[in-house]
Amino acid sequence: MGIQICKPIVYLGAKKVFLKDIVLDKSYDLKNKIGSRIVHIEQKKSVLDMGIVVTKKCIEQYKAKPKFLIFVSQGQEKRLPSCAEEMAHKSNIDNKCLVLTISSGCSGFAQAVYLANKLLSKEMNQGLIVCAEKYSTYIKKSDLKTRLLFSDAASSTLVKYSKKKNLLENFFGYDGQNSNSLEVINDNKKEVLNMDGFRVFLFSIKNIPITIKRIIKKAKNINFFFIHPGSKILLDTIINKVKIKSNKVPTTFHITGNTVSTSLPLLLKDNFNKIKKNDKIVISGFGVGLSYATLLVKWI
Amino acid sequence: MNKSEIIKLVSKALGQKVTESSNHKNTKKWDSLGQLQILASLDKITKGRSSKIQKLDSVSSVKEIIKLLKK
Repeated sequence: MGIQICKPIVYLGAKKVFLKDIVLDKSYDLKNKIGSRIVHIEQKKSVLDMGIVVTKKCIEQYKAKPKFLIFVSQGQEKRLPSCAEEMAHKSNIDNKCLVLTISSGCSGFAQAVYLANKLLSKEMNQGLIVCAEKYSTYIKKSDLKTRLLFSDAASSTLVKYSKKKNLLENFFGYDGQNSNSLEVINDNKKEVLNMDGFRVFLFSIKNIPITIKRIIKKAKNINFFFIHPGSKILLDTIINKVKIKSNKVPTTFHITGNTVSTSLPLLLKDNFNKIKKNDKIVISGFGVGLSYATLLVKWI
Repeated sequence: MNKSEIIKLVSKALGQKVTESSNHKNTKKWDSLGQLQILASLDKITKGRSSKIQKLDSVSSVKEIIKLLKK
């Protein structure tokens, strides 16, 4: 019926890279366009390894006994199988647990929360949402604009069943015509990330303000807007279009860059103590697909 | 606004000379920040009327701007 979201466990790539060291064109407006000063790159751990680190820590911290595990990732080492089952096994999760994978990016966490809410019941009373992505594997060294943006990261979020319905609104959408705006392509037998940031930007500023405005119309007094911090310029544009106070829109630019599916768990983790019971919060993810998912959750 | 006024406005907003055939792919400064500068300039010169034009947010070429502002 309802979903309780526990404080996420987050892992950031071990190597910090300062953006000023990447940018050759010193006139490039890093502060207003990108927002963060550093990105985190993971050189040793795989997507699977990062997933295991956060999952084990989450289980240990909450003494969790998850009945399902939703793995959100698109950048796994093998085309098949998904590493979700191996991750569950290596994290000592009961082998009668439902394990599934969502192939999604920045919308993935919000999509998974929606799905988890549908799965949760008295019997299936807790589950994990694990997000892991390592875009640095696919980013060409010469593709400076993309290197400035993305960080490698993973997160594990325990969700629990609640009797009260608290997922109040949900909006989803996609644009399959512009799927190639953010994709991994084959370049001289090497897989590389190819991004038309301009198209992703247009998709986001067209759709996200509309869905958030719809939510605001239905629910007054929203306490926080957790909006995927793709880049500062994108987030600022959304804030301006929706006309919401920026103090209600937390960011993580002081920590790192765009962490793909972990960006929303990272925002929640960083602001967890500020959210009070019965607060209304918006969770909005958007990006690769192109796709978006926006939820209104009453905090339990 | 006529065609030449629009071209002049976009050039000024981007800080780079554009022509009728310019778009975000062939114009270096026409990125997300450039887009916002174009929209802000249009909004200013039309006294807010341009922000009410649907699809103007997602234009990516001078031709599209001309077409939408003609309507």
